[in-house]
Amino acid sequence: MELHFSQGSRAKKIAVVTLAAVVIFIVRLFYIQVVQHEKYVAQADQEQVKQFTLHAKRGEIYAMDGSEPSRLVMNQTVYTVWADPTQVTDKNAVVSALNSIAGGNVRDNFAQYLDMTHSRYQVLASKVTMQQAEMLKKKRLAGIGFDAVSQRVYPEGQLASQVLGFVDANGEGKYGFEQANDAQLKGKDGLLKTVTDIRDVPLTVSDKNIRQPAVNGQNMVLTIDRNIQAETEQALADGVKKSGADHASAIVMDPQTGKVLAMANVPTYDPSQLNKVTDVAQLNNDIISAPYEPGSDIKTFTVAAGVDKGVITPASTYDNTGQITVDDITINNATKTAAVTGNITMQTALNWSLNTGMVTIAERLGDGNYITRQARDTMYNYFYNRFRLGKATGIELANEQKGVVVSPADVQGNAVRYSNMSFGQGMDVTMLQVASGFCSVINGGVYYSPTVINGTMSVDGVFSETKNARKTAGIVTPATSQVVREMVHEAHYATYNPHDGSDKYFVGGKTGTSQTIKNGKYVNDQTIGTYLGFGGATADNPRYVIMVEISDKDKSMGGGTDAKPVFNTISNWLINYLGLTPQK
Amino acid sequence: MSYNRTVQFNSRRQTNWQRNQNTVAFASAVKLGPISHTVLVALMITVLGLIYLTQATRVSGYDYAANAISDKISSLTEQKDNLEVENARLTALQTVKNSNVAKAMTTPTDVQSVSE
Repeated sequence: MELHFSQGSRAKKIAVVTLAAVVIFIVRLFYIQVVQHEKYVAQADQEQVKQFTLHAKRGEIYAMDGSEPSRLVMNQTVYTVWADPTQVTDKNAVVSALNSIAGGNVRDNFAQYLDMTHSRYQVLASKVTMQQAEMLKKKRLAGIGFDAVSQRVYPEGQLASQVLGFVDANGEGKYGFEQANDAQLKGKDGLLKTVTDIRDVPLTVSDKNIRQPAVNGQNMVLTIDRNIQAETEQALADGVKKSGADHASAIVMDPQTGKVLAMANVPTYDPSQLNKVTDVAQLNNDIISAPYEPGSDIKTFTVAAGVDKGVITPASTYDNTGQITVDDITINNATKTAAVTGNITMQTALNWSLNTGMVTIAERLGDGNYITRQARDTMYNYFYNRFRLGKATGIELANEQKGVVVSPADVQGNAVRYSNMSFGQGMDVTMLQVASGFCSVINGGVYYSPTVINGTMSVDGVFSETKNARKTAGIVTPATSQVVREMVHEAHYATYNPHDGSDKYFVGGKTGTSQTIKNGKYVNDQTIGTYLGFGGATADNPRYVIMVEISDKDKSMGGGTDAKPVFNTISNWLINYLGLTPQK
Repeated sequence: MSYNRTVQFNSRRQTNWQRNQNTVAFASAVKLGPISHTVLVALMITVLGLIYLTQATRVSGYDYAANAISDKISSLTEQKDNLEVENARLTALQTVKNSNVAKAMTTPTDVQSVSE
C-alpha cells in the first residue's frame, strides 16, 4: 500500500514520530533482550528462584533388648520461637500466649526482647514442641515466627551416654559413637532450587528447577544390650557409693564374637542436658581413652604366655621367698603369708597374685634365671602382637587411645621393665585392650577385634546383623586356653567364695590392684582396683567377660575388696539374664 | 409479506459448463475489510493468550495443591515421629522400672532349678 502525504502535512509528521518511537522501542528491546540478556536473566533468577536445603534425617541409634533392637537415640522436631519486634503489634498478647503455652521453654525475661526494635530477630523460646507451636500459631500473633529444628532425644535418659556421645548445635557428632560414625549417621543433605511465589511456595513453571533428594543417615544398631548396660551402670553406681570412690568403669563383652555388651563409667552425664556438665572429662569414655597400668589382671596374660610356650603348667613349682631381684631392683609380693612361702605352684602364685611367680615365668621364657632378650621378645610378641596390648583396637568410638607397651628393642625395654610388665606395671593400656585380649585367652585362642556395631536398621524396621569378620585365630592354643580358664576359675574362688550360687556355674576371674605414680614414685596410698573375669555354664563355653575398675585420687582401692564385688553383682545377674543352666 | 435475499445467486448457465461442474456459485453479502481482519486476528491472539494463561495458572494451582499435600505429609511425619518418641519413652527401662506394675511385684521366696 502506498501512502501519499502532502509535503509537511500533520499526518506525515505523526508518521515520522511514530516510526521513530517504534525504532527506539525496537532498539531498546534489542538492547535489553539480546545485549543484556544474561544480566536480566540473572536478576530475574535472583528474585524468583530460591534455593532450599533438604535436610537429611540423622540416623537413629538402637541398642539390643535381648534379641530385638530398641531405640536409644531418636530425632524429634522442635521449634524456636522468634519475634520481629518491629512487626509485633500486641506485646501483651505475645507475652501472655508464650507464658501460658510455652512457659517452660521461654528465655529469661523474654518480654524485654520485644522492645528491641533495632533488631528483626529475637529468640523468645526454644525447644518448643510441635503441639505448643501449633497452639501458638493458632493465636495468629503478628511479628512471631517459628524455626523448625531437629534435635536428638534419648528415651533411655543417660543410659550409655559416654558410648553414644552427642550432636552439637551444628549437627556434628561429638565424642563416642556419634563422632566416630558421623558420616554414616549424618546422611547427605539434598537441594531444591525452584521458582517460588512471594510466599516461597515452589512452582513448577521453570525449566531451571533442580531437586536432589536428601539421603537420610543410616539407622545403626549397637551391640550394647540395654538391660546389661543398665545393670552394669547400676552396679557401678552402687559400688562407687559403697567404696567411697569417685570413679569407676566396667565393660562386658561376648568373648565368642568380640561384641561389647555394656560399657559404663561413673560419673556420667545426661546428653539431653549438656549444659549441666561441669567437667568435660565426664564426656570421655575412659574405657577406651584413659590408658593406665592394669596391674595384676595382666598375670593371666603372663600365665597364658608361659603355658603356651610350655615353660610352666599349673603344677609347676618355684621357690617363693616373697621377693625377687632383677638387676638392681628388688620386687616384692603384696602377700607375704607363710602359707605361700617356699616351694609353691604357679596356680598358688596366681591365686595369691604373687609378683615373684610372674617374674619367674618371665625368666623361664628366657634362660630360666634371667629375663633375657629372648624372654622379652617372647613377652612382647604375646603382649603386643597377639593380645594387642598397647595397640588401638579400632573400635567404632571416637578418641580411642593406644597406650604404650615398650618394645625390647627400645632402650627402656630392659629386664626390669619386663619384670614389671609381667605383673601389669610399666605399661599403659586401656581397659578395652585388656578385656579384648582376655577374651582371646579364654575363648580358645581367637582374637576378635572389639566392636559396638551389631548391624543396621532399615526404614521399614528390618534389622540386618553385621557379622564381625575381624578375627585372628591362634593367639594361644585351645589347650592353653583351657588350662588358663581352669586356673583363673580356681583363682576366682581361692581367695573369695561368694556362696551365692555362682559356683554352680563356671566363673573365673583375677584381681588387680595397681600402684599409681605420685611425684615420680609408685605409691600404695593411691591404687586402682580392678577385676577381670569371665563366666559361663560350662568350662568350655565362656559366655561373657567382665572387667571392672574403681579408683579415686589419694585413695587406695583394692581389686578384691572394691572391684570384685561389682564384678560379682554383674556376673550373677548375667547368669540369670542369659539363662545359664547350673551344672552342680 | 416480503423478504430480502441475503445470498446472491449467480447463474452460470450462460457460461461454458461441463459435466460434473457446479452451475451456480454463492457469494456472501457480508464483506470483511482489512480493519475487520486485523481486529479478528487480534481477538484470536487474545483468546490464545487467555488459553495459555489459563493453562499456566492451572499448573500453578497444582503446585499449591502439591505444596499443601507436602506440608500435610511433613506434619503427619512429625506427629508420627513424636508418637514414636513417646512410645520409646514409655517403654524405656527406667519408666518400666518405676511403673506401678513393677512396684507391685514381689521377690519370690523360693527358687529351684530343674535339670533336664
